[in-house]
Amino acid sequence: MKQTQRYFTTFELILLALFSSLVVVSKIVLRLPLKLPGHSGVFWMAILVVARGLVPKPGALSLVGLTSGLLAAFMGLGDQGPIDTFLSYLTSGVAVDLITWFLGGMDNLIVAGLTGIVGNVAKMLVKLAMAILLQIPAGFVALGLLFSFITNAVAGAVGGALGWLVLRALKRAGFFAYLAEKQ
Amino acid sequence: MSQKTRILIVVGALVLVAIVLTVYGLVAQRQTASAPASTPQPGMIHLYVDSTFAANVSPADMKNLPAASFKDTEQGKEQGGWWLRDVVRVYVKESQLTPTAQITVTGLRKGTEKKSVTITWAQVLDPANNIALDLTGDGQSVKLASTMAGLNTRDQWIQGVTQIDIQSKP
Repeated sequence: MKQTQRYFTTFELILLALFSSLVVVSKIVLRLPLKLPGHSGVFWMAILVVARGLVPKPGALSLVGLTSGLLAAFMGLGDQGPIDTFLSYLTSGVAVDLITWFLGGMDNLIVAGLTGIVGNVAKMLVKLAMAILLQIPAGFVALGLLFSFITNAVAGAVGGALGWLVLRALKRAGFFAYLAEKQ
Repeated sequence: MSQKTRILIVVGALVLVAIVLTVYGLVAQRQTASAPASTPQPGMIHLYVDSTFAANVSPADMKNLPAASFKDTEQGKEQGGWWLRDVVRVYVKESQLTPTAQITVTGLRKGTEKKSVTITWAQVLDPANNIALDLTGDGQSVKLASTMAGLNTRDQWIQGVTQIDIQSKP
């Protein structure tokens, strides 16, 4: 009998589930004493970049975004309600997924940094779209947009670079050989 | 297509997004600056005193106000922005307000769902209550946050503030 091969192995799904919960836990536990829009992207994007490096399949990060979004929404994270929270997490995951697919992997620091920027800026744009849809006073929304874009981009780039450094350390420690063995 | 070309395309797209946001911000800024102050303007926080429109609250008016800073009781996160007492003082003479004067702050959440809270001027003045208008973490809207009992959780805070009503003599 012919056995159909699943897209993600059980081991990969476990890894992705772990990274999803790590994204949510990092949002609760890890805090930078900065009052800058998007600064949490430093940790968030680092985790997403590491997840993409360990499970290098298109769709992996969308799954992390979806799962972490559901987790965060049910845990009541975020100030703007569950829909906003869910969409933010999902968008980051999908954006990182699409950009790494477009750039052809996560093999150098520039790509990792760019991936972090796109993931964090995508989240910011979704929040902006939500704010406009919800008719939140645009006088406040619009004035700091460029500033918000820059801080999100910088935090994303730092997060992406951090993630790449973690991936490099894991590679040097032989973790990828261990993963190949598991698969 | 080489990876270098793809990287350049992504960088170009990001620059384009930055330009669009800058233009959008400038247009909104110009509209805000040229808006007549005597009528409620869309996209701004409207302030009413005794049911009469008093002002459009704008970020420009708050530039010189002292920065608010406190840790919320729910998650211990640092909250900032501007003290509500200072914001009210910008638009209303303090001599007009008695300690029992009522301040109702209204916000929008999930599109059309309005939410409001009414507090007294005495509560607003009490430094222990830490009642502040704070920019949300993403810097894209304003929320009313505090450590006052009954208004000290995210669920009780007023998100996306749109209107402030002051009843000076309740």
